[in-house]
Amino acid sequence: MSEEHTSTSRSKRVAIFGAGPSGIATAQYLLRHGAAVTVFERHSDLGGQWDCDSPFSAVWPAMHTNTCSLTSRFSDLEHDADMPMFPPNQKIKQDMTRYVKMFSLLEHIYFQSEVVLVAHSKECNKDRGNWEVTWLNSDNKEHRAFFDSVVVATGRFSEPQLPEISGLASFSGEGGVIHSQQYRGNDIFEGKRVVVAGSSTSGCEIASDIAMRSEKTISTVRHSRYVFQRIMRGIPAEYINFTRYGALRSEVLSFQEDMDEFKEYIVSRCGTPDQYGGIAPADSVLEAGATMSQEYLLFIAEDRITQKPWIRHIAGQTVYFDDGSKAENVDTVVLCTGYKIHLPFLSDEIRETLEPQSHHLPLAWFTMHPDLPELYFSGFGHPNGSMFLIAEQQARLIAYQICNVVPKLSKTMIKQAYKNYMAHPAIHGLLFVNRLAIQHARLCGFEADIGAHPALARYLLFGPLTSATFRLTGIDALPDAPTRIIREAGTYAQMTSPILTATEKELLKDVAKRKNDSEFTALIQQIFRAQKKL
Amino acid sequence: MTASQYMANTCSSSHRKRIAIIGAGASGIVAARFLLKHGANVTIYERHTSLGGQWDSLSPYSGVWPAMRTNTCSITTKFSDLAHPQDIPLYPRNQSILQYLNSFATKFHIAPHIRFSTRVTHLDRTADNTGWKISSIQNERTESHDEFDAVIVASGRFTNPYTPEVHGLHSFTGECGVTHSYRYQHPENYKGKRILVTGGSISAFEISTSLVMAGAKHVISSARRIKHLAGRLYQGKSVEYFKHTRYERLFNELISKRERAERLKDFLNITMGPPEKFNSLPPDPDPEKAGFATSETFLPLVAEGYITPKPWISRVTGKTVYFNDGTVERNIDGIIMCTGYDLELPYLSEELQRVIQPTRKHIPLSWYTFHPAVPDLAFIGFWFHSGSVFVSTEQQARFIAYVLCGLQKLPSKRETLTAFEKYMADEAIHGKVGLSTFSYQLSKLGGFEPDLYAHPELARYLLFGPITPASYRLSGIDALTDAPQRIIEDAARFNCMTNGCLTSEEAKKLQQLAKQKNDPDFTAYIKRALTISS
Repeated sequence: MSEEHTSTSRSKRVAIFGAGPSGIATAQYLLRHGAAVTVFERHSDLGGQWDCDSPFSAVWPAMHTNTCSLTSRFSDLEHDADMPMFPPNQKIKQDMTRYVKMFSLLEHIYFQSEVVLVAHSKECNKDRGNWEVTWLNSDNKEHRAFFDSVVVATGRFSEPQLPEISGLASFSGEGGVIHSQQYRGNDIFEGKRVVVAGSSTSGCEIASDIAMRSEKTISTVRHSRYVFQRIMRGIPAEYINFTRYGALRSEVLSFQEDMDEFKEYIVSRCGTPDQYGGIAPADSVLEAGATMSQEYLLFIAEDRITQKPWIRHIAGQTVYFDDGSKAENVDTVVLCTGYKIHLPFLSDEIRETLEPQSHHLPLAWFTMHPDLPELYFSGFGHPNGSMFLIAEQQARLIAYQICNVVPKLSKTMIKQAYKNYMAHPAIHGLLFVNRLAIQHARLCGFEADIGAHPALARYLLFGPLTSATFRLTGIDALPDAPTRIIREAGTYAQMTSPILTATEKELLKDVAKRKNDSEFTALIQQIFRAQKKL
Repeated sequence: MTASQYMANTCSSSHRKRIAIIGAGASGIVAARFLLKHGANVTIYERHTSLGGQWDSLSPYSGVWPAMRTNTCSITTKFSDLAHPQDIPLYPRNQSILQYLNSFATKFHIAPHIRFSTRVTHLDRTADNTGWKISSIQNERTESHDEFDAVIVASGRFTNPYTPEVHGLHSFTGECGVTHSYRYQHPENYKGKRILVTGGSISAFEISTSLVMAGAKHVISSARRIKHLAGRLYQGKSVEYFKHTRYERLFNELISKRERAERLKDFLNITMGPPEKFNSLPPDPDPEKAGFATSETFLPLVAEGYITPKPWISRVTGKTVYFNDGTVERNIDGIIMCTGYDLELPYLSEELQRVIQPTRKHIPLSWYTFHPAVPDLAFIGFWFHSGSVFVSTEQQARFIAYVLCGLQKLPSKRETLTAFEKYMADEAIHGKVGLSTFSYQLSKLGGFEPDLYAHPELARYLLFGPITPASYRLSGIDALTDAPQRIIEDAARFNCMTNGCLTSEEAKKLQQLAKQKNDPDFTAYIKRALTISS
């Protein structure tokens, strides 16, 4: 397969840093299109975060996915029949291992190989590749090689962010202070009193997990977030909120309207934390933030979790909170305070151009920098929703660009996208996987062409946004994509008919009206006509 | 008591009615409170060493396990005469309720009237047929015989575990054995085990989820009938704010059975959703046929693969269990039978048994309280409903107390008989009531029906707010002057209903209701309420 794509004299040599989902998906698409791939993985096994036995993973053994199994996979791999709807992390790892076998990726991965430096090639080496990569092997020896392109897929969650808390060092509880990265499960918290700091996904999930066993779990939050559940009324959150329709709708809304609708989506289902006995969030969802957690609010209501404002001070085993209250005899403090961007291997020159921030990378489409051609980043966007969905679409964007199988994105376009990104730094925490995935697909012409498949309109627009829906159109399209899309939508009795409901029709009409674009209006009309024949 | 003591007793308190209460659970205690308030001479028989009945999870006569939470919100899970502490959670631990009952008993000086560790062995008419004779035994040693003017049976509906015939159950060899839910105490004992939980009632769902939380390896849930499930919350509001309201009662009275079934479906959909969408077994689509129970954690745990739902058991051999669909589960370590309770009234005399004819599951009575052929004997708490039992229990206690103390006339023989015949004719209501209709009916019978029309300014709270015990202290016997204030405060808890202004949606509902009701007084009331509200 590589022959036909390799029009240049030799294969592109690509280095990928990291063998997590982003790394292996990128490797697969690059190999498919004729690149020579080397994956550097510091651990002895693949999987990244999904290898819960790895010291570099924050996933604990009992953790389950919070996205549905149908979206938590790559388009080339079907699950086993006994896959639960929200599988345990080990099943995901097993799938990744199968994926790697299926595409013979293993021979391209250098395990226990930690990249220590990536730098522009010196002038004299330019013909050998754009980038010089230095890595350490398990024997602790330095090795060097040159590559045409580099894909950084080392993950967003590897370097814990520790907060400044007065008296933290004085904490004398037996369990000590740990960061969520070190959390291994709730067994050791039986009958204990635990303070969990932070209200992002890990904060809510770990607090809920501990609360199943502990005598008392206190969840201390800098600001109370809106919380919604991963499955509500029998429908996974992503099936409602992260659809193709949802992405289209967001494009016709102002930023404020968009945020208002997101808030309404949450409040109309789950209310607000104060209604459960927690702390009222700020009115603006942008200010307050939002988190997905199945049990968190319920556990507040059931006196399993007590929500408190942020920590003012710690002295010995007593934790004082900003509202003047305190918790005594605390056994463990778990800091779920997130991660810093950690790219220690970037050369100073790259760093100066890229200007990585502590919590985000300024990039075009979360992927590339206008002044750093042939350096790509994958998995640093971290949107709400399935990371497998975004990993695969971003992998395709990167692979297609590197292998020149789609028109190269112009520097002007990249610059514009970079500017757009920099204009809205506030939204970095509220990204949505559907919008990002579709954006990537559009850039390379593999966004589903609904006009060519009007009979699938309901599944594509309102059904689960799976990776298979991106194999309908464009490069790497699969002939059986339509049947797969129908089958996936119907799984778990979610969407068993192609007929749009009256509400769905109204929603589409409204988008068409707001969009006021003749092509789009024609598409909606075409969809409605096709409905009559179904 | 000797004959002379008995004489002395009756003489000195000839004007005070001597009333015995069997059982010092929530029902017995609240009945005592109102009897004492109105001058009765009260004796409570309690076989355990302390009060609380089911709410004393450490008592051998309680089916409650230590980690159980209430499934009704704290706003309604209380009596009208005593508030919870300010920081009570939405769904408190059972221990908080026991503490509350103890505070209640202290506040109203009830404890001195309780004969602890005293089991009633026989209840019969006195020889002259004017009163009641109770034989009891204290500490299984000291027998007593006492006479009373009236007796209230409050010994509980859930004390006599029922285990159905299951082929081969006795041959089960799993190390954790077979337990009835009544004896279920410590989920930790099942850590790492594969457990079969049988039954389709609330205890089955609650115990299944508690096992998963405590770290059971896998739970298999087997039920005769696959039920729908409801959640306790919608939009962050406890079910008391939208299902068990006076508006719901008034509206449901006006619609057909079919429409009521449709509304039940809507309720199930908005609070939980169809089980098959969680990858669970599909129940009969008609919820009236399938039935429903409450649990918001069960189905999400099915979706995660922790719980596997199964139809009923066909047989058990060794550690293997066969199910009616032909599937098999091997290596089961324990079986917990959540198969409910039979009625237990072992002390009723033969004659009373013959006249009243209690069945295995219910007692044929008028208004679940009196038997038309047996005056001065009342039953309390021998019904089941979803929603707080405290609400209906208190109203039943008041009805009984007011009748026995002569404040309210017992309805005529004819009315009593009509109510009895109506009950006998409808099997669907045997032992089952609805919170809003039952508590309302009791308030009418007891002479304390809330006078809505006199309080149009409270319309929103009374019609759309939770039906709290305080809302039955607005009018009639034992009305409280601060009842309006309490009603407003209760509704505002957890930021659920913070003002009395009807929303436009509520206003529309009321106008519609008035139109359908077509009662000039009601219409005038709604008009006044709307005027005040705007």
